[in-house]
Amino acid sequence: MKNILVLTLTRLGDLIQGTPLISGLRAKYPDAKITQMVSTDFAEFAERIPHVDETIVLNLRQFKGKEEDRQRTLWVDVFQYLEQFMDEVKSRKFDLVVNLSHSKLSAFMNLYLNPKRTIGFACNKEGDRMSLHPWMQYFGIEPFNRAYNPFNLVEIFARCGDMDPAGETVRIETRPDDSASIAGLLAEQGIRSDDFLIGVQAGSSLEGRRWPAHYFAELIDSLTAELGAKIILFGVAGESELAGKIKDSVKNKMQVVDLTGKTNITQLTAMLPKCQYLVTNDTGTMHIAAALGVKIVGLFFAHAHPYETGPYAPGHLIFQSRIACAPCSYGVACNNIICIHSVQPKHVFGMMAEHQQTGKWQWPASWGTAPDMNLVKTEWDHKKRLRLIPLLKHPLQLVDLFKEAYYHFWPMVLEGKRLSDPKATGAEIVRFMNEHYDCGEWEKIQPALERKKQELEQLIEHAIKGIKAGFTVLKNLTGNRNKGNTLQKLTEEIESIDEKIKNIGFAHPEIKPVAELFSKRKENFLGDDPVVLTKATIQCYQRLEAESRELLRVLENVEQHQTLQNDEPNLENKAVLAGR
Amino acid sequence: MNLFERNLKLLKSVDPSLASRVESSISADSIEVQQAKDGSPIPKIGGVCLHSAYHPRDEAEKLVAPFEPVAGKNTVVYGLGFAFHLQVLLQKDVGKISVIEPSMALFQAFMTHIEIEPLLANVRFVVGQSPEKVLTLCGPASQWNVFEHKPSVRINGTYFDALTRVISAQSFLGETALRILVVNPIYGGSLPTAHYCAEALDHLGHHVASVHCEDFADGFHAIKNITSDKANRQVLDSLFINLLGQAILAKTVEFQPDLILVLAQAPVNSQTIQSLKKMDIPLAFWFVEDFRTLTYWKDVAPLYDHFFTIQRGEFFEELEKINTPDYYYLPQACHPQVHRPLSEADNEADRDLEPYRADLSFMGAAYFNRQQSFPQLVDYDFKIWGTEWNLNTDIGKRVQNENKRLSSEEIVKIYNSGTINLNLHSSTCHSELNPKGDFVNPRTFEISACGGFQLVDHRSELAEMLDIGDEIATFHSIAELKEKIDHYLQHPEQRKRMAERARTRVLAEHTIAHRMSEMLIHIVSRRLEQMTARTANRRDPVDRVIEQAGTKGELGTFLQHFRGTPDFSLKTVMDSIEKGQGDLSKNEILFLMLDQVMTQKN
Repeated sequence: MKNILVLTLTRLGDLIQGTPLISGLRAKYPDAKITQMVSTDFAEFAERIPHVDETIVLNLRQFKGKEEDRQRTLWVDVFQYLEQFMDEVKSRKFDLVVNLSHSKLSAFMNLYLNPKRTIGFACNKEGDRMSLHPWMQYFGIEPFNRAYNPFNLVEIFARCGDMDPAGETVRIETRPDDSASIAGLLAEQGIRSDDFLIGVQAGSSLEGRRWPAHYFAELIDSLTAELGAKIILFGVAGESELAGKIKDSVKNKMQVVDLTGKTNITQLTAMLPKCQYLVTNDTGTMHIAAALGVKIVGLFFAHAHPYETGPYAPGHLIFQSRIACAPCSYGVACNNIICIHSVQPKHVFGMMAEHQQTGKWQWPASWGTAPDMNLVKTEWDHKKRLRLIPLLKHPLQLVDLFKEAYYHFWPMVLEGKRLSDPKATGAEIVRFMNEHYDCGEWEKIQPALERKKQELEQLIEHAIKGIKAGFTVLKNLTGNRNKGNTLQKLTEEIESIDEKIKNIGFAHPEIKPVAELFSKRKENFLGDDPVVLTKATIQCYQRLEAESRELLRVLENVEQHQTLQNDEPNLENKAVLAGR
Repeated sequence: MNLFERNLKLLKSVDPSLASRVESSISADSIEVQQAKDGSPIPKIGGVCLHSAYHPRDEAEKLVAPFEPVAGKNTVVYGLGFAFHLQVLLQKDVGKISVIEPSMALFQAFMTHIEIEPLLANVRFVVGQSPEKVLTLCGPASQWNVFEHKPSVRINGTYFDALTRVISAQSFLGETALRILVVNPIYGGSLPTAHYCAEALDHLGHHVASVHCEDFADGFHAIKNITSDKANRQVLDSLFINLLGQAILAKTVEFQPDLILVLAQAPVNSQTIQSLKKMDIPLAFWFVEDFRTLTYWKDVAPLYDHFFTIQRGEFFEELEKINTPDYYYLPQACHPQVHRPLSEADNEADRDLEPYRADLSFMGAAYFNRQQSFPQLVDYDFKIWGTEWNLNTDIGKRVQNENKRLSSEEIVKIYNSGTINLNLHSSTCHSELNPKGDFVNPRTFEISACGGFQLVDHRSELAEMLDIGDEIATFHSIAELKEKIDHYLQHPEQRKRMAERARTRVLAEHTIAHRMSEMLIHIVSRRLEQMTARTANRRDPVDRVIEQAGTKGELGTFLQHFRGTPDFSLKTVMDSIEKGQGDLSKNEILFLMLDQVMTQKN
């Protein structure tokens, strides 16, 4: 592999979250030239992505605001630009295209470039979107099963490139002259080297994701008054009005510096590390800060989901609402964003003050419970995979159990493997559950879990029927006699089986990821040779059967271990008994 | 039997429609007939002889001598006179001849004085027809070898000038696709006609858009349930009609038509008409109604640029009185894309038709005359479909559809399945037939187009459209109807023959496409310069983008395929790619990318 192109056209966050994958590519192909394609908005920042040799910019901004006039039709100009641009890119003859943009545009671009190999979204020659890599297929179903996804996009991207993300964090390049770029700014704003600086990124691209301005103001008041902090308001020019509103509301205005719209990428990169913390909504600035090692206090509302886009490094703190509708489902435009009120300024300040004092993210027991709030910290697990560790011991729900099970399940089954030691896995899940959740009401969860296991058995049964039907089709296709009617009937039978599989997924969201991945695989068949297609269909059923059995095994082990755990007296009691 | 009577009898055998018109026309013009020196009778009109007063035959030889017809074209003669030139032309072996003669009076005089038998085999007389109708009957003028009988052309200068104009209009329409906006009614009998008109105009190669006022029907009907106060209801109705008027204007502004065709009952009030007129777009109205029953034409006819009717005579006099700028007779017709025979060979179709089978069937609303006369038919296997029937009466028990509205497809099944389709034109005041009924309803043509056999009440305009007794059977009373039902039930072969002939005739002359063609020729012939100017300045949007893209480039070449596509835009290209099959081409992939970019941009 000598010539690699990475397409990142959608979000700044994606650009940063793709850095471990690029690091992996560099390690795997040390001599390859790595080029990245970005849109104009991210062109300046893209220069900071490590291991990239060249950046090419898709400049669609040049057409912004150009209304059609009588003389010219805008789309003809755009077409000609695209043609010229894509032909130039194509002439570079990339061996590998890595497409991290979850967009049709990038999939069509990939088709146009026709590389030898693709990682990520692509489409077939007829224009239907394809995702051939198992992790890319998982990425395709993830938005519809968000509550059950335990993986950060960083991990998904890396695994799409067959990289192990263990120990990797997001990174951006810093430069020796970065500091010099802010010397004037620091002086101008009266920021001293011994100031205790806390950054605040109050804006975000989607307004609905923002924590309210008056909450930020209240938090700033506490931080300045009680911790003596100086606050730096970060953001783009468009967020200056919001920053103004916050600054107007705070008591000690002298302690607040508004830098919205006043920093370029170099200055932002230099300024962020001066801060001890960054309090932020789910934004590009958050990812930059994470890459620079700044402690993040993340506020995730509406669609923002820390399991997907949380800061990918250990040591950060994230607040999220734990109400039934959080996070918003894919495609929802919420008209009553109540989740932002689950997290109060006192919570954020309390956690930051505690951390400032102890160096640990912890929720003191004396604060009581916060049932509407998820509070998690980022941490490596023993395999150096990044975990979100709950800091509030909420009563365990089925969704928490399944998310934890999927954390162990998908990395194995998506590589076509079985869990090496399901008993150990079950024990690990149970340990995690009991350490971070209140499992006191296990007996209420168990019947529901039982039901889900039965549904998994149903999935297995349908998969076996599918395999049988598939082999009968194959026999008919390869036999000599014309069996048109039989084939028709078998096709109908397969359609009916698939419908049942799909319906089990709809009725049981906990196992929908398994059912949906089956459907996703079937969407990605290539060619029109009936024998090849039938073989692929059989394989899909076989994988569904294997995956359902594997998940069932995990759940059975979880159930056994949890039941044992409940039967055994706890350690304190043991000690008491031993003492007797 | 005198010569006229003998000629009439002969004419009936070859052209019964014309014979019927000859019989029923009362000659208002007096045609003077005198004897030439050689003893031949010659006509004299306004003091001018149409042939030589000495040797009309020798004169005809000289006139015809320079005529050199182009092979493969049809010979069309302008002016009949007393046919001396026709006799010479026939000797030249020019094939079948169509003679266009504007004056029925002259034709009657000709029938009185000249033996027509030698001409009948090779001459078709097109007498007293409008120039537009002539084109429908004689085919495209580009296929004519025209021989002008100069004296006839001079005498009928206005008529032949009009014929020249309509020929130019036909030629213009052959090369030009107009943008036509059809305004549909909210509901009612003219709604299917509106759909057929739009389809036919599209089929003729024009760019058609419709204002689908029927989409608002539920809202319009809901007003009735709001209040029983008549005055308030009228206010609400009027506001609703104003709203639809604004919708029509909005559609017009967007579509920029060259012509607007409004169908009877469409929600277009005088205010809307005035607003449309400010846009300088010709406005046509097809009043497919009985002018005696529905009289709203009095308010609107003078406001339209072109007013088309299914009645003439007395109606034309009334339209003249109220200063209607232009009116034209355009009878109803069928739409063969919908009205077609259903194959009985297909078992499934056959089973499907079973519920519709009956010796005698009728499809239509419960008008007064039908309610009054149908009880006389209860001794037949008689089934009724339609609306507004009193289901609690004896005749109501024959109603098959419980007064529910029927789709066109279902109506076609009814016409296909009845052994005899009864067609009694509606009347709100007669107990049986309207003895003075003139226009022919669409059902007449639709049953024929379906290949169905029908018995229709006598209508004065019918004989001109279908040969009575040969192509269609009529009745003048319910008693006669019953006799004919008995007769035709016994004679399936006669039914079959007559239905086949009727179908051939309506497909040849009485489709909505024929009517639309005639309508456009009429309109364009009266505003050829305006239409030419309008369309000459119009550039195909595809040309514009090709010019911008460069004619020689790949994009320019790719876009060539879309020339002439109505309302071309990026969406047109995307729809075409969407429908395509197989591997995407380079340009197609670029267009898919472009579509994503433009969608994000918007």
